[in-house]
Amino acid sequence: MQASPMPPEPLAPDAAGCRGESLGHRPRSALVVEPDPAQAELIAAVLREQGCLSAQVATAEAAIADFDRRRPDILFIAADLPGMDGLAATREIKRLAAGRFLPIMLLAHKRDEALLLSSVESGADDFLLKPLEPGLIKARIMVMERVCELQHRVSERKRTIAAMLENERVEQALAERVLSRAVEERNVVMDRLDLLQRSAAIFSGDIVLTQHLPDGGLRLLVGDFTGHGLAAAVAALPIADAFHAMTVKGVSDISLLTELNRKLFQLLPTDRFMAAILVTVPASCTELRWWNGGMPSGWLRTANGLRELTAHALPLGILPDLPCDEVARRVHVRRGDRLLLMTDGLLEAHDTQDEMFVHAGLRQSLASWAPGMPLLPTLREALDAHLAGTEQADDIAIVDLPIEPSIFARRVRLSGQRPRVGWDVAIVLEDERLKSQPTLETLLDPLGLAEGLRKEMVTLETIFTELYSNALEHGVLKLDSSLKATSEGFATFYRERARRLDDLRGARVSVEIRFEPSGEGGCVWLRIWDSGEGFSEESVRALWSDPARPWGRGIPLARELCDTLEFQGNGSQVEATYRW
Amino acid sequence: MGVTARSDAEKSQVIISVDGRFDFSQHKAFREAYKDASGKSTKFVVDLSDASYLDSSALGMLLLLREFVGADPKRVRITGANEDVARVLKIANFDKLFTVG
Repeated sequence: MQASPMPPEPLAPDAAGCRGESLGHRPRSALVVEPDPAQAELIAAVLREQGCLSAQVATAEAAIADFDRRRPDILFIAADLPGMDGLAATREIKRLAAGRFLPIMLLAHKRDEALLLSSVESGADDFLLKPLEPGLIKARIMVMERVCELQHRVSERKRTIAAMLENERVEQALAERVLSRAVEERNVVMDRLDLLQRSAAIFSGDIVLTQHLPDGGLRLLVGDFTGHGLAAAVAALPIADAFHAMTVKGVSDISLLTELNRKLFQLLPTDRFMAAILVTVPASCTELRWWNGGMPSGWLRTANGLRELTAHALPLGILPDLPCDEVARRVHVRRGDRLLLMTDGLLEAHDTQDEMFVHAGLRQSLASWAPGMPLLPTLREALDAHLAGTEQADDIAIVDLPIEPSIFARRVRLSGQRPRVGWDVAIVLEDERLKSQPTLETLLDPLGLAEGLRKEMVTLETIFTELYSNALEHGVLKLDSSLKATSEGFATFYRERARRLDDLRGARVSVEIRFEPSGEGGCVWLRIWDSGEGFSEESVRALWSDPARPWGRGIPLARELCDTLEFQGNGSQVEATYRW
Repeated sequence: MGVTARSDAEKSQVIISVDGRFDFSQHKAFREAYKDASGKSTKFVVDLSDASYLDSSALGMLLLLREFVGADPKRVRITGANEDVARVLKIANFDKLFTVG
């Protein structure tokens, strides 16, 4: 054995701090693939000196066949081998090592530069030139020890990071579950609306909240926090709390929005906010109130066309207070209409050509929307086609809501075991509200109060309509009934009625209805008073003597039906009772 | 791509131009563009002529600039927005907080 220029010890690399760790990762077993026993023994001797066991085989085939059993830490292989050559064997053995770091030293003859290059390409980590010298072999083994050590540390670190990431992911998924349950658990009628929600991160910055109002009507909020992920999601909890608590109490749209805005302004930093669209559908199912602060337009599909609910306000959480003139907008709806709300993740979803969905599929989908039909399936299909081959960049939420009785809270049915106790209801209608005439049914039914009056409803309805019309037409609008004496005048009367209704400022009709049950029957007491100046009861009384007049019949009719009917306050207030 | 700031000392005005996507990656550069100016007197023009896209974090950055100038809507003007960018500004109703156009 030649004298080695290297000291026999230490074996570990000198790199700072790794000596202690490195001892465990030094090659322990080697495989030498060399047909010349003398050369093979030379390597084995150096390995022994380094404390490394070695086995020797003469062919690549034998090395491959034995590889799994031996699992060597380092491999020496001759370039020239009978049968499969060293390069092909290197390739195969690297494949068998399957990602485990296994240094392979190719043993080659001098001056074969092309071979040396292709040895590196085939996966060999280093080479030794023949004839072999023990000193060089030892030096190369030590270099390989260092590489092994580095490799080991890298893969340890990779494993640690992967484990931490996995742990993080599991914990986030758990937190998300808890949070989204807390946010969503109080939602109502989620089975009645079509919903698509896709998150870019584990946590979504989009929220959908639904709750019933005391009258059974439905309130819906779709919100989009700036950004996504945990930071966006945590603020959702207090927002959901306030939304549910205030809606159940019947707090108005603007009061709710004011509170949400105040909360978000306190919670979020300056550059964070929540865009939101709030929609309330009262149980009468005749109108829809909406407020849009920084969300993409909502779309209402009615039998007559498409109505856009454009953003008219700032997102919530930017200014300390909502502007004091903020109001919810109103739009007429009918059963069978549908409402579509979305977050901007949908508009801005980019396809592989970097085109946004708002310019691609959205318009066409809206244009193809048939009245009474859900649009979400069409939209989902168009979106999937649009997003094919891309990664989702932002949270997407789409809500498709049918305007139909099944979205409202089921009313408490009073029939059967209805409580035999009375009630008292008062309502004040002003200006705009006076344009459509209420009926007893629409006033009382949402509260479940019409039930007890059902048998007498036709009569009660007549009394109510006559007295209400009188208060409106003569008290508030100051119309002269005698106009109706001619058919031309009749038309003039109603034209004038419509014109004056359009012009109302500060006009008011108040209604109070009280019910007292008694045995199987009961008594309804009705009071209607208006903001007008009144009229003389004398003139009213004078009218009912002529049965042939085509006008002025309302009050006499009501008087016929009622048990008592009395005008007060110069005719601007009337009280009636009806018993059965 | 990026944010450049030009200072017009005469008009005591800083013109911040955003090129390419105006999103969170511009956060630092956008902040750099105004942080050394005097928040009390300088006017800012945010030129979005070359901005291809603007997301909600960019809206957040504009809100930070607004805070920097003490929420005076006349002190920050946003100009040159293309159709996509203008749509985002319009949906957010930022014309209520800034001079847009």
